[in-house]
Amino acid sequence: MIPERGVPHHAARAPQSGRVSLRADGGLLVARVLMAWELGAGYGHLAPLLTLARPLVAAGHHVSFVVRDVASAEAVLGGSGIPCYPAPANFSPSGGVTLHSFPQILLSTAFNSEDELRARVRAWQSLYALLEPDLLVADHAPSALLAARGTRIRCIVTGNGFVIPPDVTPMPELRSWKPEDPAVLERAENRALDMANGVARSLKLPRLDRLGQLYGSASPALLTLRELDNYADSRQGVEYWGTLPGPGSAAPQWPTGEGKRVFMYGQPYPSLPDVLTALARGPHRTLVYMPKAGPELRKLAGPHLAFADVLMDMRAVTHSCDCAVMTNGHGTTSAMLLAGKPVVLLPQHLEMLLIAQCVEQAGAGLSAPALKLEGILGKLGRVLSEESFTTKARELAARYVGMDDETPVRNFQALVQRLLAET
Amino acid sequence: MAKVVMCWELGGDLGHVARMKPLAEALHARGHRVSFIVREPLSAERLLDPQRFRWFQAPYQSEGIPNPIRPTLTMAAVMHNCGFNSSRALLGRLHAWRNLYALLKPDLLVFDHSPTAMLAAQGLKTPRIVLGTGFGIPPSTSPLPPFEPHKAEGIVEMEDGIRARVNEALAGLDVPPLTRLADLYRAQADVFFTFKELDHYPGREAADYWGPTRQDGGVVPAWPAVPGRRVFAYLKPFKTLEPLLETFKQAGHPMLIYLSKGAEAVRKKYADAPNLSFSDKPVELKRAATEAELVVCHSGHGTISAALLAGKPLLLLPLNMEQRMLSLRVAELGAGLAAPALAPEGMRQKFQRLMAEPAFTAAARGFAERYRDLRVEEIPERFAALAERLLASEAP
Repeated sequence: MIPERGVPHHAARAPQSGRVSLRADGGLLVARVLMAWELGAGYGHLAPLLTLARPLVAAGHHVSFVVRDVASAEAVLGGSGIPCYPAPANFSPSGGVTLHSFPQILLSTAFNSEDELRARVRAWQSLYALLEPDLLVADHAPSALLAARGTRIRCIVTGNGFVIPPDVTPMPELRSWKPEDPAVLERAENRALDMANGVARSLKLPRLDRLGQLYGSASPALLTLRELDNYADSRQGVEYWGTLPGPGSAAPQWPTGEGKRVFMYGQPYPSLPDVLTALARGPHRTLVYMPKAGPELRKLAGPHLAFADVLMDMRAVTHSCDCAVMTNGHGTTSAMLLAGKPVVLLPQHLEMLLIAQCVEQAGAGLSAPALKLEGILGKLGRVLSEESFTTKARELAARYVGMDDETPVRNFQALVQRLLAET
Repeated sequence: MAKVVMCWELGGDLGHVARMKPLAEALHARGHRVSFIVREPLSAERLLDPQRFRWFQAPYQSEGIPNPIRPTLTMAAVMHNCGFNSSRALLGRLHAWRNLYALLKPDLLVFDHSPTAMLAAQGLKTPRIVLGTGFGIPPSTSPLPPFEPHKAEGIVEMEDGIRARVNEALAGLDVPPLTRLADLYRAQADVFFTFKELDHYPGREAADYWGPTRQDGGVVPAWPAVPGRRVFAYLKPFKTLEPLLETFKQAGHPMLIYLSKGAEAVRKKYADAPNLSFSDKPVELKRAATEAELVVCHSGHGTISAALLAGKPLLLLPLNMEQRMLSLRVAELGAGLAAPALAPEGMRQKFQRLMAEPAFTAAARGFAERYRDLRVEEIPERFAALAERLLASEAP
């Protein structure tokens, strides 16, 4: 009745009734794996999930994606043959509030009301009932985790540190530089816990003793470095796998001549024209990758300033540059530090503010959150001229000798096999 | 036992799931399995029995697009603004709908205001029913008809552009191109849950009008204990609500006002007006309309139907295009007056005319008389029978 194209292959020919099965040829465990993304925006969740999924698909597992943004997924998953379904999610998160903790983030998104959460958890359960996953890989997907409680589905939580809160109570204040009244945070955490347990009660799922248990009862696949994890001090015995390589492959084309090499990356910001105008005068050589920078900015290109139009091989970029200036990019920050190069970060939202704070604490760079011309140029000058930033970045890199681009995928595959063997 | 999937993509609030619920219950009672793919799971949670029905998240364009078409002159512009603006993103949503269909393996698809879901069903052999009021099922013309007949400039070119992107996306599904955008609405049956007189598109050729679906629920109307002629109002907050309430207060008649938001604050403000009573809970529509002499609303289809079936005239304060189109139909019937500008003086004068001139009530009573024998409670069974006919004709 329905044409083959777009049909999830496992819906047509799947292992029987969702049980992990042994493949006849080599004893390899074959399972149904559901990769879930519920909160957040852009490609930062989709692209890593696809990188993790590809080897599973190649190994014969039946993988499906359930994602917040199926339109973006088309750009990432299109042609992969992996079926993709819409994630039940809150598409109208409340804005305009300064969030101080993970429970507050939940209350402004997935946990906005008990009725809505229950409605969405039921929709996740509907998907589980038909897709029968053996394994859930959740990237910023709290409702998916809640729906999986008490089922036979094994859970992995993945992503950077920000999206995987530690299993502690109370959960940490995120804005240590301007903290909220702890009583306010305690109330928020209790409210989020009560909401989850209210839903759990009505759907007959095991209750949570602590909110963090939602994540703590899953196996972590932490795609970051300890030094970039804002929750590092609250976690115990967790492994850091580093970040996944980006998809780019083009060789960086630096402006020729003398001068230090500065890589600039991210989103445009108000003082960007002035910053680029100043950098175009030299003495450094700056290579800019900002897809949203308009043509008027590109006119500033000259002997000291070049623009890249395609995604570059980040290994080549990080190894050839002296410093990076970035508005966002957890993966790019990690790549820079692992190459022993310092960074100047221009954070514009909480997640990046926390990464910038981590970088400053590690001594491997500076943060310029005010996004002012003088601040950005001043900090860039310091990072390039003061030896300590590069030294600290190199010391950090030395702690991860032996980690390579393949490490996260290799560790992930091993974790998947281990969890499936237990089922 | 057949598998039936009911889809809702566009619009808000509870109305779409509320419309499909009794139909799904009738199908379920006959042994069929019904699943819902809904824009807002909350609507399903509020209305559906989870023991009998499963629901899934519908893919839809949840954020504003960068290049919306304004003003929206036809349904094609609505489609553009709801995600037909980019063939790539549209293809992503088409794949998501297709994947849900493949997962649910429906024997019958039912669509309520779901153009992307219907587009995704192109090329499938699964029989389809499209249902709705007139608005959600535009007439099958090329270009799609303008919402307001005198505003049609550039609609041919606009639709050509949209159709080209739609066809690009369809190519990604290996589905032949549409020659007319309206063809995406093609189904084995079109079911209009409205009256010919209340079809948003007047002059539609042959259409199967079933009348409005049952409207259950709501609290018993609690009228202010003052003498006079009762007026029931079903309102949302809008910028000239205050002057309207002032008009109501001065008129002195007993008024029951259901305010979907902010009832508490308004109740305090009008504590000194014994003729005004505010409800923050939905009021039983049929009963309120029966007990009132005039109904005031934003021109929602359900409230208008309830008022006219009870033979009561209407003051209409439309807030959007869909409501504006419907308010014109009521005005043409002579059973009400529309004040689309929401100007205080205009609303006041029209309210006074409706209270003073018996012709409006006479026209509303004429409508009620025409549909005296309508049995809306039979709609679910009739629908289930239609569904089974289609299922039988498609059986291998």
